[in-house]
Amino acid sequence: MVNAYELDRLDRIHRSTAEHAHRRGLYLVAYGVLLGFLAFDGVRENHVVPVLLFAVLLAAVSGYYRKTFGTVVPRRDGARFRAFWLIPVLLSGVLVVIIAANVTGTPGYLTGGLIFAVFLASIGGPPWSGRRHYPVSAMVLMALTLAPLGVLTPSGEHPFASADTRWQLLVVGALLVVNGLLDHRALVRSLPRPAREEE
Amino acid sequence: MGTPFEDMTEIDRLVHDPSRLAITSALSACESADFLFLQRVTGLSKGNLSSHLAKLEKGEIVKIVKTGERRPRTVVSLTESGRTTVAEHWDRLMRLHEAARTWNPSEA
Repeated sequence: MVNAYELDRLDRIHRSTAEHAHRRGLYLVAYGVLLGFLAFDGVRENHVVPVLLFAVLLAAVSGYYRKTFGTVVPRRDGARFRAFWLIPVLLSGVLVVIIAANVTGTPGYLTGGLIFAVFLASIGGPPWSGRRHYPVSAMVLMALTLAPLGVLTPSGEHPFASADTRWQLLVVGALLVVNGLLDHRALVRSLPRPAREEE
Repeated sequence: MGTPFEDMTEIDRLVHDPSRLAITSALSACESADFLFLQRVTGLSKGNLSSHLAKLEKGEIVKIVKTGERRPRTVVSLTESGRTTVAEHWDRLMRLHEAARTWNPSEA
C-alpha cells in the first residue's frame, strides 16, 4: 500500500514534470541580459553584438538544460498550451494601451511600466502557484514607475523617462534575471542528482 | 462488510511497484520525456531505470524510441492503453488511500 509520504513524493514527481518547461529559468535570464544591454545608448546603436551574444547565450542554455536535466515534451492539453491563447489578447491590450496613451498624452515610461508589469505578471501565471515572485516583480515595477523618483535626480526628471540610459529597460532586465534564477533554483531543487550505479 | 483493502487484489502489480509508479507518474504529466530526465526526476540509477522501462515496455505501458546516431537519445512516452491503465490505477490508489484513512476496524 502506498503511504502518505509516498503519495506526496509521487505528486512532487508529477508536478516537477508538468512544470519542467516553466522552470527552465536561464532562458529568461538570457532575455534579461539582452534587455540590460539594450538599455545603454551605445549598445542600442549597434544591435549586432548584443543579438549575437543573446544567440550564443540561448544556445548555451539550451545545451546545458538538455545535457543536465534532459528533455520533456509538455502535454498538448496542459496549461502551457492554453496560455498561447492569451498571446493575441495581450497583444491587443498593448495596442489599446499605446493608442490610449497617445490620445491622452501620457508619458511613455508610464505606458511602458504598465505593459512590462502586465507582461511580468502573466509570465508566471495566474494562479502563480509556486511562482509568486512574478506578481511581486510586477508590483515592484509599477511602484518604481509611479513613485515620484524625479525629486531624487538633479534634473527633476523621473529616471525611467531618461533618454540616455533606459533605466526602465535595465530594471525590467534585472527583474527578468532575478525571476529566471528563482525558476532555475526551483528546477534544481525539484530534480535530485542521478543515483550512482550500484557496485 | 469487507475491508477497504479487498480492492488491493485488483491492483496492477506491473504499475504498482514504487519505482515504476514514479516513472509512470512523471510520464502521465507530459507527452514524452527522455531517459536523462526520468533518471533525474525518479532518482533511479541507469541500470534500474533501464530494467523498469523494459518491464513497462513489455507490458505495453510505455513506448520507447531511440533516436539520433551521433548523439543517441532514448525518448519514453506512455502508450494510449498505458495512459488509461495509469489513470485507472491512480483512481484506485486514491480511493484505497481515502478508504484506509477513514476505515474503523471496530465497525467492520
